Amino acid sequence: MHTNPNGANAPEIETHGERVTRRRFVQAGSAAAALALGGTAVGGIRYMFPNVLYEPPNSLKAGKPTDFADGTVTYFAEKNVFVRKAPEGFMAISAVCAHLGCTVSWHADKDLGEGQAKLDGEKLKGEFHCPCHGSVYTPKGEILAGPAPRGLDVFQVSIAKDGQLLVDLGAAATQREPIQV
Amino acid sequence: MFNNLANKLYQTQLWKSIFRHGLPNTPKNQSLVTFTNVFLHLHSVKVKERTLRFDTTYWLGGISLMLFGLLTLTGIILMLYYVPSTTQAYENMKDLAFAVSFGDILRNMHRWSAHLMVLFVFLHMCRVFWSGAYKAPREFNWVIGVFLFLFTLLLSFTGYLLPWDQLAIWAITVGSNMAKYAPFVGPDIKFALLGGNAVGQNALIRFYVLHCVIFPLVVAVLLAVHFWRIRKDGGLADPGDPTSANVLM
Repeated sequence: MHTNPNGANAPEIETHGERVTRRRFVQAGSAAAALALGGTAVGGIRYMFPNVLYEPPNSLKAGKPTDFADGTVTYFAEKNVFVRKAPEGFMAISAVCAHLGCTVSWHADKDLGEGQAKLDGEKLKGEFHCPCHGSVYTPKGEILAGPAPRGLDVFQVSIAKDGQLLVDLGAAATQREPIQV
Repeated sequence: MFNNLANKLYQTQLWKSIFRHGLPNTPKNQSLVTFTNVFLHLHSVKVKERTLRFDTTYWLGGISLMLFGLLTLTGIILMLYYVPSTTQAYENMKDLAFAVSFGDILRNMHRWSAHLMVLFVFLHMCRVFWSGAYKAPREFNWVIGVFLFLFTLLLSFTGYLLPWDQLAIWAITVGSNMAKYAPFVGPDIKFALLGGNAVGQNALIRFYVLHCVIFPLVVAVLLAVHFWRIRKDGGLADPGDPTSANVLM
């Protein structure tokens, strides 16, 4: 009888000419099972991340730029965003309050009062008010009062191929100023 | 060092609260492993070595069980991308085939396992029949097995509609019209099965619920009874001494 490296009593599986110990068999089997299960797990996790989405586009076509008069703020309910037209150009301002996500409203007649200091010498009227906890923002979306930790989000605006004003709700504007489009 | 860690683990409250016995290195503990485990105890504590040989059963029942497990697993995962709606089902199915990572292989695993399960359950019944394993005291388990075969076919039939392509719609139209030929209650069976007079949205959601919830639950319960009865009826049918003239196979 041949010697068994795992001791005299350890069982063995006889193969043609070669001897596979139980320990070796379990090691190889466990490795193969781990490989198979690992590969399955990787594939399964990848499966959970869809490659194609059927979500509405993350942008808004707001109409012709000439439709907007200077000094107006227009609300687009379907994307919950304001478009503000100033002599210097356009701003797209989110209507989602930076505090806890309520929808702010535009009050064109409100006087900014001491908030004018925030506007770098510009003379503007009107405020965004949040109905939930009283946050107040300037016409540029800067925070004036209330619990919100920062100003309203501002988005990039450009002109689409069909000549309409295009608001990209997935891209933050680089500056909190109206821009020419 | 590994043995020390393992021995410490066996002494913990957590381990003892789950496993009510020591390591299965004594005959008593080996029996307790089966006795104290809800899944294992469906099986006999001891089996005859001869009944486990490949040429006793060709492992056909075990292969059928494995296929059922595979179908359950792949089926649940496929449900994440499938909506049983007449406007979405076909597109969801095409997305699984072309747009979802590993979606095509999952769908085909489900499809081929389904075909194979019908085949292997049938072969399993043939083996049981030809080896006389349906005879007393195993008649009741044979009947359970017939129902398991029936529900395998019903799972196959209800799954057929879900891709919502032309093949599916006309296959179920034909199938439900066959049900209509049953005497007296046939038209009512067809109406209740489809939830209407034609294969439409009501039929799709009915077949979906039957396929994904009701039939799998019935099969799971029948399987538990099936395995438990094997143990209660004295284990797998023993083909007998192969040198004897009276062996069945």
